[in-house]
Amino acid sequence: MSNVREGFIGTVRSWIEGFWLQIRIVLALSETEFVLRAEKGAFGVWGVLFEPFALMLTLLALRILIRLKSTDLLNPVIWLASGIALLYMFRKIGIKSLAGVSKRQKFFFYRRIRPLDTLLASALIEARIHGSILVFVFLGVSFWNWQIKIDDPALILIDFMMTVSLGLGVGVSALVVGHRLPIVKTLTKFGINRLLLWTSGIFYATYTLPGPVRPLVTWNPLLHAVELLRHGINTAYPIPDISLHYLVACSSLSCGFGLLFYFLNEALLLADD
Amino acid sequence: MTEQPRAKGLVDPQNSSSRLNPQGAWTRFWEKGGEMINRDGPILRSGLQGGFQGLFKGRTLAAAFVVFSAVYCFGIGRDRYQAISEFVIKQPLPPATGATTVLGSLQSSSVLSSLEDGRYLQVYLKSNAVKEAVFPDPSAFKASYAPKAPDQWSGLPADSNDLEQLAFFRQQLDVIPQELSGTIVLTTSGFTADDAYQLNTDLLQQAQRFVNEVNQSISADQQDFAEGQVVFAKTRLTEASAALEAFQDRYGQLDPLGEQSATTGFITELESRLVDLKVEEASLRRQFRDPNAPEVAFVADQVRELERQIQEERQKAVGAGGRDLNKLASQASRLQGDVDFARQSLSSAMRAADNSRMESQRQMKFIVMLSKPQRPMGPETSWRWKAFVSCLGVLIVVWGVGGFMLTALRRD
Repeated sequence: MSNVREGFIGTVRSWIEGFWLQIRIVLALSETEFVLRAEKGAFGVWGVLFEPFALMLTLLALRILIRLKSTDLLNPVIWLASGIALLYMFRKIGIKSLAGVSKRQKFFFYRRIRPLDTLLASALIEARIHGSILVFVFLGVSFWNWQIKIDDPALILIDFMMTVSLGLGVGVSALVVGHRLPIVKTLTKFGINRLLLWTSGIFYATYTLPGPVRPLVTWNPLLHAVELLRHGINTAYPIPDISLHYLVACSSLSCGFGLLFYFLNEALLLADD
Repeated sequence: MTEQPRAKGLVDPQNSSSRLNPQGAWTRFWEKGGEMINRDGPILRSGLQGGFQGLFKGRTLAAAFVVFSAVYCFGIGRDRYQAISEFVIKQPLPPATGATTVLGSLQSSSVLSSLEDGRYLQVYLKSNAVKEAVFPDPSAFKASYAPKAPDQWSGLPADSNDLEQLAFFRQQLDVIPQELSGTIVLTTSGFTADDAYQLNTDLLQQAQRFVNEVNQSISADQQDFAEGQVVFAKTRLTEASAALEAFQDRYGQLDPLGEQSATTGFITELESRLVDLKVEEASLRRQFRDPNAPEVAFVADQVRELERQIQEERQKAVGAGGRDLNKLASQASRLQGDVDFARQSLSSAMRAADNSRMESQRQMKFIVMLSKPQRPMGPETSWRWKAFVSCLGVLIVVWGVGGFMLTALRRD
């Protein structure tokens, strides 16, 4: 009996150790990616953060110039920043995953590092960058208005993590499927770069759209993520036809399929790369 | 690549370091973080926390925070009860606007009206006046929401001042106007089911009172103003009529304009006759050599007399000593104008007062309950998960943003 217990404890312990090791690997790769990216950029380590921030400022300036109509339920800067940060994070994670594992092939020299780890590390660094931007924008606006308002922080956190996993799932799925059918990669890139920009609710709120038009955009889970983030900041912000369940389902399905395809084709990916 | 660790399961850190030298960053990480694999097993350090001590402390603090959050959220934290009600502020629609209803624009205006009232209500229900109306006795308020062991953080401390009480009161209620439907969702929370239900019911009464009082006071103000205008217009008409009557009493029931016209016609007739006589006089002067002949003198006398008469009539019409028909006509016209204007003003004021009375009756608003508050059957548990996830969120933000910034600072 005691042998069974010790065996069980040993199994759990080794599982936990393996899990922690995996986390450390991803963290290490994430920092490596951060450093590599900083070396490539013109502004060093701060450029990694401020380049997307500058993009967001450009879009905000554009919004001020064209006087885009937004809602009075949220500060316009926070309203726009929520959409831009989530969309660009999704876009970066998805496209980085699509770019494949070829750029990081040298890391695979180590047995412990798998291609998925590099994708996870890349997703992690993007999540940290865009999360930081969101936090800075939110803090800046809050101090400017001298009012901090977050109605549902738990929803914001879940929404953010679902968006990260959605981007990762879509990217990995497209990477693996695109390995066999290259047109899928092209179509996914086109979809991420063009289609999502106009259906993700960056420049409009779903509730301002007429009812018959909404189904044309609510298929996009990223729209759900963006609107849920805004709703999490102010629960009075209406979200008709928007559902956390839909986002969770899309995210879980894309991640599930992505991981399934990935583990079935990992050897193929490595061999081709 | 004969020592490919993927095949062997182990890696030589020195070899791998030299292989990755061109990338620099990985090598630096390697040197900083220590060995990747040792004899006891694979160890890879992230290097994010800057050394084993920092890593240990950070991880311990984070774990302690998570454990404490979990213990508080799922163990120590007191039960919260929620009562929810939903209502809409409506006003009866005028029967004459059926066409607007067909066009569909009336619904949106009704929604906007309710939404606007909901926003006022949102501010009003969180005001100190409502707090004092709902909890007139601060000591009873403190007693019903007093902290209880083991959760000493939730509740209203016994030594709290008015501002703290108001802040706590505001935390217990949530008024959310729904942008699309115009309904207002009132959520109240309390540490007992009765508290939450009672607070919701009391706030609904306050909302009802607010809607009625505000609308009635606005309508009453409008009605008072309109009636005041009617009184003012009546007074003005009376004064103008009195002035006109006094004028007519003084100068009789004359018609200065007609009289002036008659005088002008009379003078014109005299002047016409004067012209005829002058022509006749000129003719006689040519017939008689002596200008003083009786025939000539007779006509000349008539001419002089006629000229004097015309001059006299003119003086009587406009001179200071006469009746001065011009001035009288102007004065009469002004007085008559005053009377006409005062009569029109009175008519307008009475019409406005009548409209105001009808509008005030039409715009009386009512709270229509869509969902009455129910006494909570059990504690609301979602706050526990939300609070715990929020704590995790704080930790993730601190790690994600703070750690990211620290790494950037260190690398800079």
